[in-house]
Amino acid sequence: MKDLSKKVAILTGGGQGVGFGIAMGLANAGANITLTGRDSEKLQHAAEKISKAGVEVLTVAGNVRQREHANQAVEATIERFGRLDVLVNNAQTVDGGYGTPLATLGDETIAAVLESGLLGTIYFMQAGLPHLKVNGGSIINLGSRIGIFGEVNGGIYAATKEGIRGLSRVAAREWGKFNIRVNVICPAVLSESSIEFLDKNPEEVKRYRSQIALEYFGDPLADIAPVAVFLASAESRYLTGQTLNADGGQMML
Amino acid sequence: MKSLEGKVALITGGGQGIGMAIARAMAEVGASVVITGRTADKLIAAAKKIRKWGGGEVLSVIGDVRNRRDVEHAVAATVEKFGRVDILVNNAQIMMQAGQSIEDTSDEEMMATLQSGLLGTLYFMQGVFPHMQQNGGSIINFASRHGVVGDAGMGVYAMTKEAIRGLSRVAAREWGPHNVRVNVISPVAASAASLEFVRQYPEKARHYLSQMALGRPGNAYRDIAPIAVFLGGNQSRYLTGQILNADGGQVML
Repeated sequence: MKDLSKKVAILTGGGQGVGFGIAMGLANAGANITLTGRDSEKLQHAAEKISKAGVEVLTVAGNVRQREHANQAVEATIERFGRLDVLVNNAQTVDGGYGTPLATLGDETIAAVLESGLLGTIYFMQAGLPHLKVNGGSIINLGSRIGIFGEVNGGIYAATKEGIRGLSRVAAREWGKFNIRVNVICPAVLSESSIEFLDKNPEEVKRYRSQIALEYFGDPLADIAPVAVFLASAESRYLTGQTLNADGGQMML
Repeated sequence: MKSLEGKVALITGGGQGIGMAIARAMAEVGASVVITGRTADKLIAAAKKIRKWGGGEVLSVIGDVRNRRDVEHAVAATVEKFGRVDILVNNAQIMMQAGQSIEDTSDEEMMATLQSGLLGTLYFMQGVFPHMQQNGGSIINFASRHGVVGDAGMGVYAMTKEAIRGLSRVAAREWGPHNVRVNVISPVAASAASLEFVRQYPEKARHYLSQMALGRPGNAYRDIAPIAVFLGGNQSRYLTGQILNADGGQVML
């Protein structure tokens, strides 16, 4: 059922992975989409695929670490589509933010991970607010079990993701009066690099899978995107400030 | 295709309130529905309405969730009539008199609350599990903000509801390999009792609403039921062991 037709969504970091899967899901539900990302070629490629769902896709290349990019992306969206209903803050640089012990975490990694995840999210939320206010809206931020659990070597990535959850709860309470809902998805899917790693380490596959209640690794389009579509749509109109762990049954709060 | 076409949903305490609203919503998206309850008149009237709204088949089974034999009978009647059970909604709960301190709560009240909520939930989960193993299934249990927050004067109700959450997480992990998902909704919906409260204590009611991010009491059919439909269907296939606080933005975990 197309329950997002006539709606407009901005999705950051939509060129690949979970972001691309969610964008595809929103498009299948009928939403027009603005995709942002750093690599304009990758974005263009993603946009071509998503527009096959019969919706319009706008791409805005830029870096979420810069406030100016957030302002530009929102302005371009309003100019093109005339409104904003859904904001998905998915962009997140990981490089070294996960897998580095706290003791050796360097400034460059700290800045890259924190600024792309937490600051990128707040920049887009602030830029989107005036437009989301018009008809009410839904903001979907991305957290991680690495933060909730406090994984070893999760360092700045864990801190960033929990920062996003904290910010989301405050925004949920501040912006509830505008009928803007703010919820968080903590997805578990295999990235290309982890698929490569697990291919070479079959024992690890068994160990990791045994920790997932549903015993399989999530797929961005089949497993994560429907949760985002639910949070973006009126079906979830009474949910705000919530964290949905879409991880096949790992983190249970 | 409707999202629950061909599915069979068993809803305890389906004669009124949230239970009836969920039964209606599931029937409207194609599910065959079984409702249970203690009062024949109420149940028959509810079944008639749900049939009219949803158009599908509705079976009502009289019984008390505190009685294991009644539970076994309800499950057997469901399987006999429809040949399967895909969704179980454990909604039945005898409500304690609010505002009783722990030390003043009688054994009778304690047992009624605990047996209807916790044991009724457990009995039904054990009852349906053999029938869910083949095709997988979705179990939806009910918690309460009174338990999560620990509201004064709600002792045995709070303990019952938190116990249901504990049980749900264990079941999510034990039954995940059989693709049986177990999630919890913690709802706030206007009821006859809460409307009476608003009439008697308008100041307290205003204060309560001011703590809610979305600032309005929930409606069982419009606000709570769509979440149960989401959890009952395939959209939520990668969610298990989760709690969704459908409370307009009060509890945020």
